[in-house]
Amino acid sequence: MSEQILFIDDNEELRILLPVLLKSHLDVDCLCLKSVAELHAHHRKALASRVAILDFNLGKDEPNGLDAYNWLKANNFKGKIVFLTGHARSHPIIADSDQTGAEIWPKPIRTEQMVKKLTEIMSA
Amino acid sequence: MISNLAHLFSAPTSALFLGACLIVALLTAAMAFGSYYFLRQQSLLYFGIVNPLAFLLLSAANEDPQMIHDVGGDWLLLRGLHGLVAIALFAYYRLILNSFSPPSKTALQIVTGLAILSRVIALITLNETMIQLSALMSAFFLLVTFLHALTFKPNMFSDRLMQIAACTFTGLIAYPLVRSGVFPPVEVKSFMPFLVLAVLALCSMVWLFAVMEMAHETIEKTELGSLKKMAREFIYLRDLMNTPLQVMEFSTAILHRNDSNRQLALDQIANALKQMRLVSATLSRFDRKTGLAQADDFTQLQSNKP
Repeated sequence: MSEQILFIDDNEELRILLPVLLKSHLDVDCLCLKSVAELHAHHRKALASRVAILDFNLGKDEPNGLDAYNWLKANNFKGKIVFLTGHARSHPIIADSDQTGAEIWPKPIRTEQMVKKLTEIMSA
Repeated sequence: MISNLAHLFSAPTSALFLGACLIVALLTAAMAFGSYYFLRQQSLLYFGIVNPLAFLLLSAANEDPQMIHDVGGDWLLLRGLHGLVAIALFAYYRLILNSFSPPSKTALQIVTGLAILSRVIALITLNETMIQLSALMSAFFLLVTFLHALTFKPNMFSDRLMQIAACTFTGLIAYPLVRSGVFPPVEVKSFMPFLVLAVLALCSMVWLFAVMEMAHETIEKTELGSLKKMAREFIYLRDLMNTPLQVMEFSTAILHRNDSNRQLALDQIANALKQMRLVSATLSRFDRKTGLAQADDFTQLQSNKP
């Protein structure tokens, strides 16, 4: 079975916790990646996901979440893309992402809220 | 023939007028230098140089504008005055560059170079034709600076005032034109000294207001800059805290749900705590900046409790 949720974040703790959380709350599998380079390496599984949750800042001088978004769109990703970010809305990258029309989830997001949103997306 | 200065001192009313102009010129120059010390704006420095120089040179000029400076036949002093004109031209060129940042400097550079070069040649040769030519070049120079000032699009009120002052200063273009012989001096000769000094005093006063306005704007800008810097620091810190907070949020949710992942969740909380301590250490540098003792903050927090 392919992973239903793609999660890209450079924070290792979040990459450990989110699959456990999603498995226990929603019984879905999660593909966790830390960079756009890993996204390229796991493109087959990544593009088959139903939801992509992207962090903005993926490390200093590294391609960011917006690059990941553009790559997914360019490769006909059919699922829903959301940004999970703690950056201020005035940040230039966030302002750019507003133009993409993608949903932005604030970090930290409450678990119940995230589970509810994911349930809605997955059942749509 | 006598110099403007001597001419003006010859009658009490003129002496009063000259005194008023002198006070304005000196006050403006002092303000410009003083403001430069605090604001570090190059335009203030050059204005502080140009203003007293222009006043000195115009005062030393002859009552008859077609005659050369009246220095009692002292050629060394005459050369010194022409040298000061060359310095004043360069300082005014720098002033225009720093005040109005013209998009294309080529015409201004060429005309400044020619005006200074002709003035230096006049200084060396003391040839009357060369002096007239250098006066003509000075008139061209002032005309080009006038065009630069006129086409400048000011953003701030102080810029607008400086633009007005620079355009007013160009009123002095009449003087080198008369000295070059292009403009017949007969009709204007009697009031020329008053005219040039009045223009200079007027321009100095406008510039004085501009300097005061610039100081006001700079203070406002600095305050706004400090607030923005502080806001950026807080946003940066908030960004640093968001990820460990998210880790704690997910870990707590896992702990509530599933005992089998207890150790995993606790490990991640421990890691998140490490990051939070780093944020706390970053915050501690503000203690030193504010100069407040921790006890003061604590007392403040206590007093704010309902």
